[in-house]
Amino acid sequence: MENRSVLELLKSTLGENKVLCSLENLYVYGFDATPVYRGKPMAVIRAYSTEDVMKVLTIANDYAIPVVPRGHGTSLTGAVIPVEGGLILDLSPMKRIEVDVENGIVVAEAGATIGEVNAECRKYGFFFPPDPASAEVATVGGALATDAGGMRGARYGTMRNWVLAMKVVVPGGRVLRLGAPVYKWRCGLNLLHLFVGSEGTLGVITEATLKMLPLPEKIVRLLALFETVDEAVTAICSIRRRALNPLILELLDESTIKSVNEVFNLNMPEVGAAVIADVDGPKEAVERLGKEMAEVFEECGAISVRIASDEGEMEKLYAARRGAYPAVSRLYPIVLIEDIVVPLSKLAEAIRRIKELSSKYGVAIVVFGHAGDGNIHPCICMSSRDEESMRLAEKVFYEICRIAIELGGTVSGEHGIGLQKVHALVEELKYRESSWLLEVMREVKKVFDPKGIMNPGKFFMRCRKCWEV
Amino acid sequence: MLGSVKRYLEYCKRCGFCIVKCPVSQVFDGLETFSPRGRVLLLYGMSMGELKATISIAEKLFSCTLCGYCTIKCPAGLELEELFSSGRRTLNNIGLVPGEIAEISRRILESGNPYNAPLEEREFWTNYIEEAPRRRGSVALWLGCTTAYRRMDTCAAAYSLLKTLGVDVAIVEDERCCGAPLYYAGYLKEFKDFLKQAIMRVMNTGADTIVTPCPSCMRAFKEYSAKVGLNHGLKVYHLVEYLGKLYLVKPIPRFELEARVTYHDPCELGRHLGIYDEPRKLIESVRGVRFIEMNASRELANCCGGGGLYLAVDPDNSIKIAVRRLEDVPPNVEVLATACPSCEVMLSIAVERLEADIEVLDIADLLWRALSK
Repeated sequence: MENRSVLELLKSTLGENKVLCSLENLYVYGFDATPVYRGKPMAVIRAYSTEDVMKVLTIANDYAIPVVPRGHGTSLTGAVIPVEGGLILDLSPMKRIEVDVENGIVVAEAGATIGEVNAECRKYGFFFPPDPASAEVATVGGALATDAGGMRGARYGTMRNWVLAMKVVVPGGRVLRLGAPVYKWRCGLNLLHLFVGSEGTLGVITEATLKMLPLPEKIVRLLALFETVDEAVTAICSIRRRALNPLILELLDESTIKSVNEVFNLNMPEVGAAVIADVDGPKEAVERLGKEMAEVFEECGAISVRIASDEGEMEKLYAARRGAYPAVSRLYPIVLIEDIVVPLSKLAEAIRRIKELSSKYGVAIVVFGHAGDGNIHPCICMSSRDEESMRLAEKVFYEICRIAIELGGTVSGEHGIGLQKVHALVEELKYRESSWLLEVMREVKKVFDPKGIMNPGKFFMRCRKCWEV
Repeated sequence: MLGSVKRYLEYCKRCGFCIVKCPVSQVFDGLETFSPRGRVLLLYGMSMGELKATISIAEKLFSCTLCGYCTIKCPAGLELEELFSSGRRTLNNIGLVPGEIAEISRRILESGNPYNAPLEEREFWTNYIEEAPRRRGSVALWLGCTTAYRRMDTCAAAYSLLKTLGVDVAIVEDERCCGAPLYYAGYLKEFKDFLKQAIMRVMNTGADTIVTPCPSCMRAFKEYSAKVGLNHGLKVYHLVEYLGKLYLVKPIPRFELEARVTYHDPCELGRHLGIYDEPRKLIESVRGVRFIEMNASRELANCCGGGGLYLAVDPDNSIKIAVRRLEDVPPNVEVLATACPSCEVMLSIAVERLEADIEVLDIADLLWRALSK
């Protein structure tokens, strides 16, 4: 059947208003939050219910049309780029959220944002622990599909640690109800977690049952300044060894501090590194933990340590971290964000080697991230979009991935692979002598998606360089 | 065509932070082409020659209240509202303007106001005051079309308040549109002509100061005038800003009113002009009033849906936005005050639509009622 006939079939099945084919729609849905990848779908489908998704995946499977599920398109890896055309399945209209206080769970449709989920939880005195930097706009479906994390990852890990059940539609239109809305669940193979982080390559997540936690009674925030990254990392490792259990443990290097000073006039001392830490818990305990943490920072050579416990002061201490990405965004038109993870003991070495790359290639690399779990986001900053600059940026990008691999880490902690890290994933698996795992993944995909319609061209399917797309 | 903004557009990281609170994006359930990021991408596509300018793209650029919420959310610091206005101008220059916008502009050009109302009706509000208004004074009260034609009680309240407080206030003879809607529509030359006439009419009163209850008119005199090279030297204040100043320096009569009041920050007065404190101080100065902050307020206030000519382009969705804004009103509020005639109109329609038990009032009306009591 010709594409035009498939579109007519989709329109008659879903309704005209849910199938968009205008040039401007096809154009804007061809982007995500990466600076280099582009695609063009044959249509954009707006899903308002799981039933809509079932209909789309039935027709798409029948006629072997590629389907790319998409929330708000905030992927940093090209994961929602329709590289092989087909249908963009826009789940952003699916926004229902229901909080179940008695059972400590929240049920959210795929298009609800993490921020909206949190806002709902807060109405009842709860919060949802994962907090990707894009929480305000990132959708539940997208965050699960990439296994997103965030700053509270130091304590709470990523999305997979907080999902109990999911409704997933697979090609052919069948609905899988994975997991159960209970805190413990053992029923054969863990297919629930197979879909978390699958980046839309197996099926479409339409609804999730998530765990939530009561809001902490109090949070104390600390800002510690160090002359060197090595000292900051030593302090971070030291804190992780003690029973301080930080909520967040963030690192900013000197180039980040300089960037936020330049853009936001923060007048922060331009030292080698800054660490921002939060501890939470009952009032009496948390103040003591804050003091203990300050002592650890001082023992590890901190030049200064500030403690804040009221909201205004906490906001001030957080200004540099919050401003890190906006600052580089304002200074450079092109920013490639890394997402590497290394063992904590290797973090200082990783940053040192990244800085050497910066000097070697004359490329600005700003380093900040969730050092508490070894996950950092070096940003490769370019002043031009020309091909030579983009090739250089990509070269540096892969060399940073290689550093992570060589240090026993991984190329992605929470952003996923998408198009951007296909080579890096292959290299990482090769380094671990596990290249055959890609074959296993392909076989698993065939079980759910025998025709290969789900988000084709992505992580384990084909290698692409960013300028080739 | 959009070559001058191309480099600027490249700084957009497509992160999407702009889309979630965009009122138009919300009523379109997040449809990308009706979101700020979508509009940026459309402009980018045209600037790169990848998209042809069409009336359909123009409709997307005009489907925006120019509320500026996207600008405050943009990590890259892009002035998105200004970018969209610039896009509108570019499309207008090649004749791509939605029919409703062309119509409203035609009305202004022909009748001197967007409502096509007779000029003599502009001063019907003077029937609400006891004596004939003064035509000369050091402070010109510029009412604006929506206040003059749609909120006559506010006109009377504003004039009476200023007079009662001892201001040497004058009404502008033969007042017509300041041109702000033409600016939003992208008719820059026509805007300049209208603003020039407006400045001349103000100067005819002998005033060196303009006071207006309309934030759009205020921006036309204060901001857009410089953009079209009209440097008039007049001092320009919003009514609440001016009353706030008086309140600080002069002993003024006691206002008194028993009511639970909240305040809607108009986007143009708040996010664009940075006036947040004065309206609150004025409301709180009324004895008996219990002021309750709205759920989304100040810089984070949600739009009423009426800005940027969006009401003309898509009245149904524009009103839907106003209805959504009412969700931010705290419980048990009796008066929803604001300081923009367009916001007042939009919120009143929403109240009527919901049959809500709440009164929408301009601060001028609230104060005058408190003073008259």
